[in-house]
Amino acid sequence: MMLICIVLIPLLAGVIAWAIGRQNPGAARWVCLLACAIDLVILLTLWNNQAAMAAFAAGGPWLMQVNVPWVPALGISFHLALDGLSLLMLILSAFLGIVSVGCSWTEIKERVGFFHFNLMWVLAGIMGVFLAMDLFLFYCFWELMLVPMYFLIVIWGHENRIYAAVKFFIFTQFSGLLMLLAILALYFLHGHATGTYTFDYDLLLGTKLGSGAAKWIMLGFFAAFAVKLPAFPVHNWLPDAHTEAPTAGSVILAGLLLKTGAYGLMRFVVPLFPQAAIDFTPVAMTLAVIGIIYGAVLSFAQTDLKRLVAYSSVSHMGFVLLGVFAWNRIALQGAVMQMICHGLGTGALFMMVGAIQERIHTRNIEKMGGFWEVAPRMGAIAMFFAMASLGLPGIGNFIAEFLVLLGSYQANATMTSIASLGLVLGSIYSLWIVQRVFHGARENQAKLPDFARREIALFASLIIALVGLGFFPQPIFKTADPALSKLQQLAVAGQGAVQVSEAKHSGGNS
Amino acid sequence: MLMLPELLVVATALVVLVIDLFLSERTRWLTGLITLLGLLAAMAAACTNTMHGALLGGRFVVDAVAWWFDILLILAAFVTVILSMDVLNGNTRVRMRGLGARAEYYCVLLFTLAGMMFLISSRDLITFYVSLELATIPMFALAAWRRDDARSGEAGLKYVILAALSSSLIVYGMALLYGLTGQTNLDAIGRILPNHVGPAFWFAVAMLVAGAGSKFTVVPFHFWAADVYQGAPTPITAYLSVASKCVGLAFMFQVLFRIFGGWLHDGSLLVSIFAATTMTLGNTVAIVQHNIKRFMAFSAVSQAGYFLLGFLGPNEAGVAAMLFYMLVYIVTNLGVFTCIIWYQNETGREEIEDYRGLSQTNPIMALMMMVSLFSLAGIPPLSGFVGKFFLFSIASSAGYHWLVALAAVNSTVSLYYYLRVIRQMYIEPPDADARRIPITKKLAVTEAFLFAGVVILGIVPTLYESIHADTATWLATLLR
Amino acid sequence: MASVPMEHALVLAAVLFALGLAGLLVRRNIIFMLMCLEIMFNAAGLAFVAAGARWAQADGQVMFMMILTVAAAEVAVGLALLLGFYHHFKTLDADAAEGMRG
Repeated sequence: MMLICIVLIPLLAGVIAWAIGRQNPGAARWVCLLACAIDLVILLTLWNNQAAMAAFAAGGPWLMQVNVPWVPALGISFHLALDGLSLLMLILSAFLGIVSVGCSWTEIKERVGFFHFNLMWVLAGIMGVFLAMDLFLFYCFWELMLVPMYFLIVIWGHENRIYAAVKFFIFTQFSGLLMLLAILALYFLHGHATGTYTFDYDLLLGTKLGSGAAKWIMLGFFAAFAVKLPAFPVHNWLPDAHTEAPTAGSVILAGLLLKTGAYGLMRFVVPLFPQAAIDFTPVAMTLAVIGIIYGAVLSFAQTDLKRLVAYSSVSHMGFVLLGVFAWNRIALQGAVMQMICHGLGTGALFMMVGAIQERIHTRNIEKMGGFWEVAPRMGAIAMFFAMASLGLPGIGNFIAEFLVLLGSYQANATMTSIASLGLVLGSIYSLWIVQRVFHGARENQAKLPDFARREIALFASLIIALVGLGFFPQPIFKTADPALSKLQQLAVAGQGAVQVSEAKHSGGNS
Repeated sequence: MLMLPELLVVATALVVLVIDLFLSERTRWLTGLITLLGLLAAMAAACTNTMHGALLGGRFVVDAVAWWFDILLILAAFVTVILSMDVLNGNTRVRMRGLGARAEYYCVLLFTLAGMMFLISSRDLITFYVSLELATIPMFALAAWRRDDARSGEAGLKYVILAALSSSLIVYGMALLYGLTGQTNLDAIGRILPNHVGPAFWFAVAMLVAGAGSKFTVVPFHFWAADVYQGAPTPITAYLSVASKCVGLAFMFQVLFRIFGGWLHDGSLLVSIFAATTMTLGNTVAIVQHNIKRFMAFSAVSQAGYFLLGFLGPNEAGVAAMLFYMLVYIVTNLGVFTCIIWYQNETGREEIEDYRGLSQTNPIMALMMMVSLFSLAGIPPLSGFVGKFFLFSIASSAGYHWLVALAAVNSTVSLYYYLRVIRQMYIEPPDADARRIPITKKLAVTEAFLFAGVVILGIVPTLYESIHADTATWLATLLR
Repeated sequence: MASVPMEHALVLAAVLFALGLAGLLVRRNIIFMLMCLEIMFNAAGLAFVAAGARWAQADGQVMFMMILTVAAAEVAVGLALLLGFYHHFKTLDADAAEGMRG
């Protein structure tokens, strides 16, 4: 029941905000803020519940679940379930929900009610994605994210918003349909093999597939998640969408939407098709490394500050892909950590850009410079997040990227060495931002008020979270561990199977 | 009792016609009300009738599928009558001129409905043919109802010629079937036909498939649809897009399952090619349309392509999936058309660009239109998605993965063009002098109900379950 | 009475049908198009009568009656619309009907 509430609260808040937004925009903001806060409190209480966590760690399949038949004739059920990985992602969602409501407090002045409706519904869709354990339901939530996001970009976005929004929509929708195709294929293959037709995740786990079928179905899922992640050749929509979206939209996009892709890889691609995923490793790792380097290089070439941050996302998310396909616990822990820290850090950078744009009405780096003198607080905060982005020790991102590299080094040393170049490039462009925007001569004489109390509070909470993660990452590791060790076992079993079959082969030959 | 719904519809048609003689101009709106009451009675009669059985020596049979089609058709006609009432009563801001007498309009509409209902229940070549024509011929008159509008007349005339062409193909095919088998009973023909495969048989197949394709707007037999949809009075366009599509599906059921059921499995490849071309062409052409009615015509063509997925296999779930998607399609499409009709009533406009700023001038209608369009595009968890999902899964289980992939691409394309309308409503600013556009109670209530249907049918699949349960064994009795 | 073989009647029906179809496609005058449709219906009716004769049943002839009446109704509506068309366009040329494009 608690799980249904978590999704339902933002949905309801969205409707209420829309209904009252016309008369009373302020109240709409408060309703949404409250809804996210309630969600956050619920989730934190869950996390704090030591007994349940311990029982779960001891080997329960889920921390919590709801499973109600929905269309029994087709084996569709309303199955929500929570484990450590989803719990972390949900907490991140609720937290960034608060942040995104907060950061649009003054930015959004038109159609406030509708804006918050869309914001809350994207959030609900994302939370649903993190919770759904029925593939049909998962697909529903997956699509539920799209439409409100489209509206966020297309109504409150910047100059080139329609192009960006349509591009975003077509990319994600099409890849989503490929996933639908894969889901249907999996459903029927499982049904033919076992006689029970079901979309339930638990039941579909361990479906025996021919290697050809498994490969194609895995690719269907991978396509959808790679677009969201985004992985290298299909990252194309991201810079446009991020750049044109309003600040809250960018925060949600970078902070949460991209994470659904990574989450999908961990939750579905690897457990459902361990063998096919292992076979796919070289390709995935190559894509990851290309993404890391390519994103970093391109972000260095941007003059639009927001676009720069967007490309840096491509680079950072490459580490997640690398971590997932490194097939060991350390790298997986790193990937989860990277998801959380990237969500917080990049979200903050987008807010920073949004705040600057709100003040000087441009995102062009060449028109900035010397902001430190007039807005020292802004400068300091920007400095912090730039350091976070380049992976300064003591901040969560460092741990994340370090673990990913450590883990993947065991898997593939060459790839990892190339990927670590990304870190170097990352520090170049991060420092470059700070240098161009906050130091140097003042190009722009527009008035630049420093951060007010609301903004300071938002950024402070993000800073505290990131530093906290940097110094005390253990709770995160502990929470994510049961889910990740399950993944790990699957991978080992898969590799074992490979070795056994190879041994058989060689045995047959000799 | 079995035929009661059909008889009630015919009786209502006659009563409306007669009562009109005794009404003054001021009370003539009552004819609409009587029509509605008659349809309600027919609906009640159909709903309370749980019996299946045969009448007239087996020439008229009510079974599970016929029962569901009756319900769907009455529903479509009921909503169409409500949508027509404002227009016919002159209750609109922008008067639509050249509309003839109301009673005749309702009467003709009811006769087409009766023809459609008889069509799915008929088991004999003669009743089958006559009910088909009863469903089609009055439609010509309805399409051309606006006497002073050149486009309406043009639409009617084109409809006459092209529909008569398809009818003549059908009747010639029937003649060949009768010549081959000596039977007029559809089931008997289906049973005997396998012994008579030859040139004449294939000729008959081609004729009937072409005719059926034309009724169901399957590419390449769809060409009448766009002009007729655009020229006809908008409530009739709505009726054409749902009821006529529904009866097209009923016709396909009769021909493909009942007569050619034995070959349907071998013909799957052909069906899949028809499905592929229909959805692709419908979608591609819809992208460049400017007139919203024409736009909806091509959208309807592409939807016909999705329906065809249900014939692949063939299996029992296909029947239920097609019927369910028809229900969803009727509710959703009428939801869109309610908005189109309302907008035309209030502003007299029907270009897509004219919808700019609708979200400001009437946010609630804009929302409902948007949700309906999303449902047509198949966005979960709306009913359109669920319906399409069932159809896709039929094709997938029949092994037509390439077709499902193509259908997926088509869904993406269709989303693009439905978004064109939504973009006008939500992103473009309204005209400077635009004011809030009011809505009559009738239309508001109708749209609210349809909207609820669009949302609820997707989330609460009880209706699908009952359709599935009702028709689970239907196909098995036909495919021996 | 020497009966006509069914094949002959069917061939005649097929020829008539093809003629009607060809006429429908070639002719641009709407009256002629309606006449061609009528020929196609009658060809189908002829095929029914021939088939009925083969099986020695009355059904073929019953169907022919039905086809006649239905075709008459069809043409009646068609002619009524044709009058309206002529009223608007002052011509019976089908190519004049091009108000809708796209």
